[in-house]
Amino acid sequence: MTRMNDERRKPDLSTLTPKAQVRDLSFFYGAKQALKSINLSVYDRKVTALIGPSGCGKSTFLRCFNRMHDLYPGNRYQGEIRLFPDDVNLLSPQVDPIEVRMRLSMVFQKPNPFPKSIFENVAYGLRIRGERSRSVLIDRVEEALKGAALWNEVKERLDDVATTLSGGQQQRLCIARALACDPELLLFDEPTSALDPIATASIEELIHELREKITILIVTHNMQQAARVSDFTAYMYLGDLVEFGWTDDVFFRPKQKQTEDYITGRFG
Amino acid sequence: MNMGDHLSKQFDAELIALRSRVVEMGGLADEQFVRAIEALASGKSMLAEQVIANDAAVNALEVLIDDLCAHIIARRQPAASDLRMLLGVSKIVSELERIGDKARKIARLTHAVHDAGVIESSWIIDLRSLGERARRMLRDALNAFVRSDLETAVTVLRSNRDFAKETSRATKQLVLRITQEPTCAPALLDMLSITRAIDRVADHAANIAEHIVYIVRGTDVRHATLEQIEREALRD
Repeated sequence: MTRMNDERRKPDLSTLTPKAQVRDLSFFYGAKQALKSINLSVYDRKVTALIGPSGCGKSTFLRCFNRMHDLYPGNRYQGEIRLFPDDVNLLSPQVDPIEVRMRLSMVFQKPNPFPKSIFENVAYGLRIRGERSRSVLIDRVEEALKGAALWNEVKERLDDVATTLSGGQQQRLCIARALACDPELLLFDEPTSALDPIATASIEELIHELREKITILIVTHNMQQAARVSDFTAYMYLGDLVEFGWTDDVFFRPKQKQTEDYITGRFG
Repeated sequence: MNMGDHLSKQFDAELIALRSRVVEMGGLADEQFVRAIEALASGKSMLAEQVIANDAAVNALEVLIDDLCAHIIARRQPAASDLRMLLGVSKIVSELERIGDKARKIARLTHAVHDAGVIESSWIIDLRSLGERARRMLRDALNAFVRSDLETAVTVLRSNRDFAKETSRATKQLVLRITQEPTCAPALLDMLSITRAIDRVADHAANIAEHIVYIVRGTDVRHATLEQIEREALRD
């Protein structure tokens, strides 16, 4: 009976299209189980935030999506992450992790531009995919830099080395690099924890704009950031998904006491 | 409802201090109302004067508590039950401030009613009895706030429904008498205003009860029916 204005009323989850569905996902670092049978829908063109104390498994969870764990021996997945519309299981041994990473891009905690020019950073993924046309590259680089709200700041200096940019600009460059490959799902792993409040605000504004076109999954330690930028919030603890719901509900009226204790700062 | 146990003990202390202030303001508003009714019943003009003078203290507490809420929100960015508590408290203190205003109004009218000398003591006794019932509702609402007790909050809402019928009956009698004895109209109109003020105090107590449901459940039950509120407040 929660009363709210019509414009604040949220659509029924069954009416939303999932971009990905996580089904009974468990993950093991060798013998240690880091994720415990997680089920979760990542909705199309929505921002889903993963929150929880250190060691809860949120970054592990995020890294399952682009199969980053494949890089280390002894890691093991169980369950599925199905990506739509083609309903492919990203975790299937038959699916090439390189193919997965063509469709999902990741932005990390610390900006990690390549030691190349601004232009080449953004063009990198396209070149790897075999794009040779200079005019196509120029167009796509401009489009990606505009998408990352960086174009106006760098259009006169595209040949400068990327590391000459400020921290916030470097992070937006990494986002532009991800956008250039036209990802279906953007994965953010603490994208602003190394940035000052102004650079953080510009990244959050960008996330807000990007969700019009792209599905976003973001891990953040900053609960206020989760509250500000996301449509959905998942609270994880010790490898379990404790609660998932509309961010408005999770931050105002969480269903689980554990979630309540975490977001009100009663438990670390 | 657990208001303590934050990792920040300072935050705990701020919330506890805030709640103490609300209890203090509730106690003061209650006292003002009790004394106003007492002044009405006894005709003691000194008591009425004191009620009028003390209203400033109720108003000052409203401003202070609202300021505390704003600063806690600005500094702590509270969420969930903490946020609902702050929003609820801000609404509750508005209700208490208005209860203070009603007490002052009753105190102001006391003089005129007694000076007119046309009101029988039985009518005053009836009003006193209504005032005492409204006061019980206010006490229950304040206790429900202190204990986050939804059952008591619902009791207040139920009482208010019955109480409204009582005040409506008293109002009709007064209106009838005004038509029968136009010469007594000024004093009777003052009695009517006092009856309305008592009725409003009960309404404010009921509003406090609704704010408690909001604080505990996160559900806005203003304008909902009593049955809907009972379902929401008393569900497991």
